[in-house]
Amino acid sequence: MLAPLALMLLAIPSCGPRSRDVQLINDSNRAEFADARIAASNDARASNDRDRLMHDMNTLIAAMADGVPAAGEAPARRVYDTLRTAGINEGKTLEAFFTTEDSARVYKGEPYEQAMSFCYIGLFDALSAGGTDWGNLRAGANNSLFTLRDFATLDLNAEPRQTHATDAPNDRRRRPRDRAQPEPAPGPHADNSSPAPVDPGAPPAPSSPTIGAPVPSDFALGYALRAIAARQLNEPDEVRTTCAQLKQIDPELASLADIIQTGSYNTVLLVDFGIGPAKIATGDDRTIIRFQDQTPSTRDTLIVQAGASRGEFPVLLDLNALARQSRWTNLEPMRRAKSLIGTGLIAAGAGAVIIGSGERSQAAQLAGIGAIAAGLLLKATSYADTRQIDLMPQRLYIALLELPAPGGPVELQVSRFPESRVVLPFVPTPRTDVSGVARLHYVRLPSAAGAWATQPAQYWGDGVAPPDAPGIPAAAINAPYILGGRCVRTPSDTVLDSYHRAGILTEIMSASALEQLYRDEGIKLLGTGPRDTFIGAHILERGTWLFSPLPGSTGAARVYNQLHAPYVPRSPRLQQLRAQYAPLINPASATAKSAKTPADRKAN
Amino acid sequence: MILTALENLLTHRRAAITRSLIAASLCTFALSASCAGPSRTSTYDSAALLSSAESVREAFASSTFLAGRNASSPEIRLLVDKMENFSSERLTRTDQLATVWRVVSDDGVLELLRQRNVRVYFAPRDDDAMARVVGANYRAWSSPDRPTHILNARFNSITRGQSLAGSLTDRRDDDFLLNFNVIEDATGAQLWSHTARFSRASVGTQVD
Repeated sequence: MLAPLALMLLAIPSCGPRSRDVQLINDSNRAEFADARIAASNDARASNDRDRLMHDMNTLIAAMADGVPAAGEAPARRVYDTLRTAGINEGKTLEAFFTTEDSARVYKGEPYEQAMSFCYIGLFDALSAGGTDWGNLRAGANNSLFTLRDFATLDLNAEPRQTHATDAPNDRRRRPRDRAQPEPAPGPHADNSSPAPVDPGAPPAPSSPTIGAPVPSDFALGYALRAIAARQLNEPDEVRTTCAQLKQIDPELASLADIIQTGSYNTVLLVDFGIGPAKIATGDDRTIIRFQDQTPSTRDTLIVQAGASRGEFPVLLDLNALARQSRWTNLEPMRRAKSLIGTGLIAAGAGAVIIGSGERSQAAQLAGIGAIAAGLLLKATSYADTRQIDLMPQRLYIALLELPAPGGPVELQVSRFPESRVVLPFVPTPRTDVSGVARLHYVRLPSAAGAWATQPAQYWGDGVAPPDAPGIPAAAINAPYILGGRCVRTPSDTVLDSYHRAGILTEIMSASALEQLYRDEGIKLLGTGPRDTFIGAHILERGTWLFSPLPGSTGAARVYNQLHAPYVPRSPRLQQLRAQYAPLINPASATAKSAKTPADRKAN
Repeated sequence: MILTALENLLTHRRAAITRSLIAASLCTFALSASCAGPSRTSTYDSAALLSSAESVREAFASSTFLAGRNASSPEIRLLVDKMENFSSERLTRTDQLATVWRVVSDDGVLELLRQRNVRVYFAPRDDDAMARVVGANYRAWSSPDRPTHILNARFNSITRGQSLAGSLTDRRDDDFLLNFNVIEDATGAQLWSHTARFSRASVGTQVD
């Protein structure tokens, strides 16, 4: 009796449901994704195995939004391995009963979080390959379309039924505003199939309140990404089938499905906005999970302006609505049972104390006190697990565009949210003029960004056009930032040639010598060090890293679209070079420094 | 009744119950340790992938595509293209490249190809995957030359999932297929093809 009590007592210091990381969310709302991914990465490194997925996903989302997918490589690998591990919490029920859920169970995410995570990993792979790894994007989308268990439409008096996939769409009652279940693709596919279809040869699984009825997924994002990827992989049958499923899930996505099928676009923008619902522990002993909207659900379209072309795109996925569907969230019967048992023990213990007092029985009183203590502990540790991936968005859009080569600025806004407006300085098109080939970009729109969000570019990074904003000295464009210029392209023969043609750094004879100049300043270059290195902030944002955020990302807009403090050289060589080239790079400031004041002239 | 049970627990049966609890705990731990149980993941592992690539290499070395050629035969410039992922499995760029590299990088195969006037090379890449897989001399294996033939690779899978009767437990079976073929660039004709297979299965709640 004492051993379990001692176990529960040990759990008391950590009691209490987890609160969301408000700082992380605020950083994301302001598009300060570098701060967010660095903080989340630090949390992941300090975390235990049970919570790591949560922090890794925050890191991955922030890294992609920042346009630095390399910072998400290790988290993506760990998250994928965890998501693909079945039964990861089997055998932990007893431990969770005697301690708390969040101290016993590995957090894998609510089903909707797992589906989103698979899609984000596929997106990460595509972005890491310049927006063109359609095979891995498709794999991520396929993994997101796992079989769900529907509890809300159970008829508890019905006889158990077979769970062939073709039965599911016709058997359910539909609640108002329910999305239709898609017809599953016929049979297993030789090239691919989602894990969703139920094997007709399997023994029938009875539906019950604790098991539910298996149903095909209605995860619109998974179907949309699969269709887009299949189109790029030249799999017309799969495109046709998946687009039909997408239309069945949500008729409002019919036009999107039609455009996917035609392939008349060369740019795919996956756009996130808002913050997903917060998991709140409520009810008696906080055993019930309730999802509370952070960003309200609206039907506002995404407005995209590229040159003279303008398009509007509907909401593809609303996570507020998804989180409220029982098939997309986890069960909580054990927590309620634990709370009820605790209540029972308290009542019994109180009775024992009263009776023991009346009969002067110390043993009974002690037993009663023990039961009360056990009951209190059970109730105190039966709170719901409120762990969640903090940076899940509230909604997603997919915009399919035909941009003129080689690309250009693109303006985005959620229609009645002016604070979401962002001007991406340069969204590149595919590196081929073959018709039908597309390139994927990921954009996370802020809800409280600074003025930079709508300013033109001030700096020149890899893969984007040189800035042409008014006020930028022409000579500064082809000079590195560490020398007082506006160029933050990573060292290469091409970059060095452009410096030489502008008369800059003519004594630096090779790209590796240019890299050494950066290293002498303590500046790290992405891709030149060991894998899985922690990637800090960009030198423009007072960090020690030089990299180019993915063009077409909000991170690139934040880094390039605002004026940053001038770089202060550390090494004597760079100080000398800076003084040598200052008249060429910034002639106005060089003239001001050399001009004599009237007092000086009088003194001389 | 509850009161009596509690009194008995404390005064008369404490020792017996304690021994029972300890025994039950020990049995649980022993059972957990001794039962290896089915695999919890059906993802591929790099070793299986590379082993499959070796079987492809053996088939390639003895293929009719290379038969009848010698050092005086017209040069074949064989471009080793990337491995396309058509499976439900995440396949990293490094694994993609490592698999095709395993097919062509064997010293025996390279000598065989040299004797048959077949030059193998990769298209230039803008990422560091070649450096990771091939090593410091990766540039020697890249060329922008127009090929005469192309070595393609494709990674497929057949995935089946089912719910086990009366429980939340799932079973997932993944059959992986690794297909290589050689295409003549000018005509698009397929001159050689080989497929290797391996399978993985996992049991346990997939969406836990």
